[in-house]
Amino acid sequence: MFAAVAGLLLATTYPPDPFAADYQVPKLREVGTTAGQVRLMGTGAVMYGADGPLGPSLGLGGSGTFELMTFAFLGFRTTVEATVPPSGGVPWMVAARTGPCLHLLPYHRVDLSAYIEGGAAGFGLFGRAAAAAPMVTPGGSLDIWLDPVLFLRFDGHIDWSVNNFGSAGQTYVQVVGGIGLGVGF
Amino acid sequence: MRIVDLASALGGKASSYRASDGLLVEHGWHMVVGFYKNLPDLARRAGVDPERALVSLGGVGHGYEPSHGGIFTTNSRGGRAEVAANFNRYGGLPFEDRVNFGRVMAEAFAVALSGEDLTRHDDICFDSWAVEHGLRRHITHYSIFRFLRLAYFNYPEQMSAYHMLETMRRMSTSEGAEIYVARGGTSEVLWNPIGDYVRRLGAQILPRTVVTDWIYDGDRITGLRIADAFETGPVVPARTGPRPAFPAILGTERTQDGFDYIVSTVPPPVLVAMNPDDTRMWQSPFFRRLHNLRSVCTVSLTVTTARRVNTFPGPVHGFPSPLNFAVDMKPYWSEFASRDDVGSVLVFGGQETGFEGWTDSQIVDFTIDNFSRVPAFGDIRAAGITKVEFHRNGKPWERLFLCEPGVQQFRPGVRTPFKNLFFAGDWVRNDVSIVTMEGAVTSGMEAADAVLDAAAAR
Repeated sequence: MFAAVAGLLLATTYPPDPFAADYQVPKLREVGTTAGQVRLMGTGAVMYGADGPLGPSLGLGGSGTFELMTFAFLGFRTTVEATVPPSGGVPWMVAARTGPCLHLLPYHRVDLSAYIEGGAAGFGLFGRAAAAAPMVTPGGSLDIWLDPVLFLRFDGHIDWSVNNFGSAGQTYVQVVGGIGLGVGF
Repeated sequence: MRIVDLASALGGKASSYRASDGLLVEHGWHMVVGFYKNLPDLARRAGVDPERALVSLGGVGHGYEPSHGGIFTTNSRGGRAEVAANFNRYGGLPFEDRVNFGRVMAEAFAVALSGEDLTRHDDICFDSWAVEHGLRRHITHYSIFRFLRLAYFNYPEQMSAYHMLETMRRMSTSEGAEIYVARGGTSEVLWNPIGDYVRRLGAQILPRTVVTDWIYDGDRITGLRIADAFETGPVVPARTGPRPAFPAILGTERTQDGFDYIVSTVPPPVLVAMNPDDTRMWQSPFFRRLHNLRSVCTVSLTVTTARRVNTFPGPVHGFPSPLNFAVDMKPYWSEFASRDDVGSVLVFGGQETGFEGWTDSQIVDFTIDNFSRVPAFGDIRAAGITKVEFHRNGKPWERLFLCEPGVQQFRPGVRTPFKNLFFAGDWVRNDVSIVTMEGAVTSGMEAADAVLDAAAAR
């Protein structure tokens, strides 16, 4: 069809665009854990526990976690955790752990998850009794999404290890409760 | 070898024509992508040097994002790391959407390159695939995501995730993703030299001849019902009324026989209209499933202006349908490149769905208005429109195969239940298997190999 050029200079009227709504980007409102999501979280924590004969005592700590979701219910996470020297002789600790995480409420504003991590921990690393040992950490989290990217995290877990700090084969157990922020993309 | 061709120009849905005033008219805008191998090799055998016949668009594309109001450039050159870095600077998406989109596309490339059988993803559309893999749903509304469907003329329809992933696999390198266009009419630059080549090899080409029926005996095709065809193509004035399955001239019907093998490139909308009374053939499992292959009416618009408009090299996409992308072909088409009296030769493309009831003038004005109201593109009318050519490719032999979700199970391979009939075309399963000129050429080569195998086995 070769249109008359003159006619084109006077724009004709046409019906409404049937797809106009498709070109409008809806307001970003999706929240929650999703498949394939990349998550970064930081928490501050209060802990209570003992290392063999040392303690029990209160301590402070913090952790950073990177989590990569596979399908929407299962993530794999890696955590780095450290404590500041607590009272009662319990050694300060740094740990690096990794493990799976089961999310119970993906695609919801509130998500519950349970995880178990395994890794290595160092105890009183710069002292004469420094020790390194395996660590196992079961735990759970409650995430509340504040917007499509940012969420508030409540975390509780137990750090469990058998180490040689002070005496051979002493059991390190700390109950840790934390609060922090996370972002998910 | 005898080639029966419906049109007077070689190339089928990738052919080009000349209007009475000499204006180049393409069936639609065509590109040759860097991963194409069999098409350039065929051209070389015919004496065409692809380095001279084709020209690169520079690796760039430009997306108009209506939500932002701007046009943003992507670049496929420089390798994967640089492409990813360039995307991170794409200003059409907010940062958090860019991170989410980039992460999902990285996963899509990882799946595409994993070596797994990608056809297992054919049952869902790529939008759903991406959302299942964590894409935030609203991102499917951005032009940069919608472009994936526009490029296959699927929008507003969805497209198979398999087709998208297979395309990403083949376009995963900068070289494989480079886009080229012919320096002139596609028939003139590519198909006519290839036609001359096969003539030199002894082939006879019968133009404007339409095949209407198979004649068969047992499992062999013994004859074809053919007829002279009306002139077809975009320069023929559009007819009103129903679109016939065949452009046959009454009274010219005859039977063609005396052959051993047939390679049929008849597209599905025409194929399913052949042998209409043959219930036994059309109820057989092989032929019955061909009715599930759908197609779309593509639309093409060329606007020539006296002064330059749209300074972007390469395709600009993301505008409202039906003509949602445009390329200024003046720098690439040799006959226009050095002409001072031509500012731009804007070629627009898309498909008709949703606009079937609009008149040609309404579509043309709507398109010009949509592009012109974006300052970065420029006002087309103000640049002085000198020529407008618009056409719809809606007749059964003009329509484009729709690579919608679930389509793979219905696509036949090159072999058929008839021992001497083989299929070829972009709609036929083949080693490339995505709807491209490369897929059509590859299926033709596979059909030719199948003929040789059958001949050797006799």
